[in-house]
Amino acid sequence: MTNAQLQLNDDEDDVQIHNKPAEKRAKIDEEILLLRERIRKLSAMRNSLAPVASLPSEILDKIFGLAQTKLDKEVGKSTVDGKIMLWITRVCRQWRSIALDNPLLWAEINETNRRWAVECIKRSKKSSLIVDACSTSGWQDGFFEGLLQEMPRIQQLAIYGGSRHAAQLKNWVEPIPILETLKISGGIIPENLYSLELPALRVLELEDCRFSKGLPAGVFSALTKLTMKRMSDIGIISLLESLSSSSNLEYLEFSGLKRWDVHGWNTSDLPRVNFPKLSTLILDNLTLLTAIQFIRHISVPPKARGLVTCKMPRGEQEIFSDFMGDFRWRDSDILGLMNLGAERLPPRRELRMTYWQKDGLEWVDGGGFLDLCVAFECDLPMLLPLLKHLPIHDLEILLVHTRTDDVTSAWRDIFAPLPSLKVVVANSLAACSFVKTFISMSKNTTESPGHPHDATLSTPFPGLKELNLKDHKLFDSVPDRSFESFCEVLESRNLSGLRLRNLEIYALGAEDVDKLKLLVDEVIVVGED
Amino acid sequence: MAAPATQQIKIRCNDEKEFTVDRDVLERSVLIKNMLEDVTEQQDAPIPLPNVSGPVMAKVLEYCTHHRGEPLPSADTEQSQDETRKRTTDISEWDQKFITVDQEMLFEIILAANYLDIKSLLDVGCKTVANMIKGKTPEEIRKLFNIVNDFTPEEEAQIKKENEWAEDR
Repeated sequence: MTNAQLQLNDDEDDVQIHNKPAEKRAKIDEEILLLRERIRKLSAMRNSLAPVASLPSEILDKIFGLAQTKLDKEVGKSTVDGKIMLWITRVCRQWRSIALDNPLLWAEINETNRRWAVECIKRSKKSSLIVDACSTSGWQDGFFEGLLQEMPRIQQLAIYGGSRHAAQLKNWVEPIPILETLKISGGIIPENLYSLELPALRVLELEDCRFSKGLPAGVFSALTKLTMKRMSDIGIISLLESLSSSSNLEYLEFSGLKRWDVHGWNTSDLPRVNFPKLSTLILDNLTLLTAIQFIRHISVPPKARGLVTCKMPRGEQEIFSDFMGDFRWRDSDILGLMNLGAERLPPRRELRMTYWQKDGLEWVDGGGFLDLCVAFECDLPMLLPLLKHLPIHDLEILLVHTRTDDVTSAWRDIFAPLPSLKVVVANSLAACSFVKTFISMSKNTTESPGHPHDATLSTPFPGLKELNLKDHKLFDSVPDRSFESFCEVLESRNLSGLRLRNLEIYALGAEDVDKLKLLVDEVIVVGED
Repeated sequence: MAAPATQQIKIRCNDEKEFTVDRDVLERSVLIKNMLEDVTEQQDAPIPLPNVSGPVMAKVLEYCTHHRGEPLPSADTEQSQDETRKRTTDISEWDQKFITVDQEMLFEIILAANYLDIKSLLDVGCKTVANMIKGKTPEEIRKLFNIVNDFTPEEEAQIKKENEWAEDR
């Protein structure tokens, strides 16, 4: 309608309704409404000609879903930014209609405003819900009561921050058939949680909270992932009992658990808990005693990955020493290795191995943790595959302790050649094995037809500077003139710069020591008066 | 020994533009792959693609050639609710450069990917548009896509109410 037409109408009407301003206003209002509707229709028509309007609604739907995702860098996963959906529905009628028609776009609720959250729940229709409820929001005012009605369709639920929220769980008595993930942070976990029917629950994450009473056995039976962080008053015995039927667990993490009642255990009565599917165990910020006690009472598959970070307060050195048997390496160094996760292992310049007899540490029987093996002990058959993947080509220092001599064959497979190796520290049968292997490998390489006289090539460890070999039967295990063979190798391989340390006098006579002193740079013998 | 010759397939776009392309490149399109599987004998006639123009097809083929040999997404991973929820809007560097085109071409590529059933290209296109939307107010989005407010007064009132809730957050 043009201005001229409007003016014409005004003139015609003027005659009839000159003295009726209310009627005239009504007529003008009517015309304004018509014009507005006309403008709206023209706007809609104009919008339909925009390039973006060529996209069908199912594609716009997909775009909206993508637009609302944002990466939460702290937890490393995508979450939903509700504000974007709010804005998308304010762009134009078509966009609003498409967005409101897709319940999935409203099914992830982390809003802090109760009315908005309720609106999202309404818009999500019958879709399964992902709900993050935070106590710092205004959700307290009856929102949880409303949420109870929606429990049958909640797939993931996280409740953060305080006892008030956790207490709401008391009112949940009906089964929650599709709940897969439950995360509770803060407060007391009511006992009705144990008896709730949660047939789909696979992931349970608990932090900064405590149980209202002891954990019954079987409560975690279907879980694949269990995380407990900074939980207090949780008994390790009851925890192990409650985990006894959790045969599906793939991921288990305990961090900073307080007051684990580990002292005074009658550990022999505790059956070992088997986790046949476990791939990752994380024990973080626990005392060493707690970690050891826990590890001793579980068994895991051979390739399970364990990351252990322990505190060792004064007084626990003794426990640690017991755990390590009569092995006497510096505790701090071993703890240093314990603090390394496998993925953070730098190229190895130093490797420490201790090998225990099969019955030395029972927990190894059911499998073991490869990373722990490097730190705590080494079950050789288990360790070999790991060593093949460790970056040890530049290894400079090697420390080995073993009570069995089957380490010998491993030298050839794993440790030779090591061109950068400078120091070998070995005692007990590891020392004997090293001598045996050192002699046989050196002799074999000499016979290499291409390089019969090349001393560098025929030495498996051409950079060797120090051998620290401690065992009172050092040469007894090497057949046929072992000491002489050893001397021959030292002489023929140009190892005059070598230092020999920690040799026991019981393994050598005074003449032998004198002979060695002529061949190498330094010989230090222990056990002499 | 010489490598076996790759089969060449002809396609014809809606502007009569024709392309002769290696079969494995064209098979990035599930639509064309299914068509080729349905044809048992060697055909010389070009495959008609009535919904795609020559310039757009040239871009699509550039994408398919770059990504040839990569595994195709399996059908059962599509459209589940969990899948929808796990999506991110990250785009690889090459794809980002490839999709840096004007809006009209961008939407044409999305439509072509949808028609030809090339899921990865459709994803790249949709992610690009999604990233254009992120962080913008409704007015900025309208300006970006050259659209205008066409809400009825009732809808405006409802929107105003929603805004109040949102501002409460």
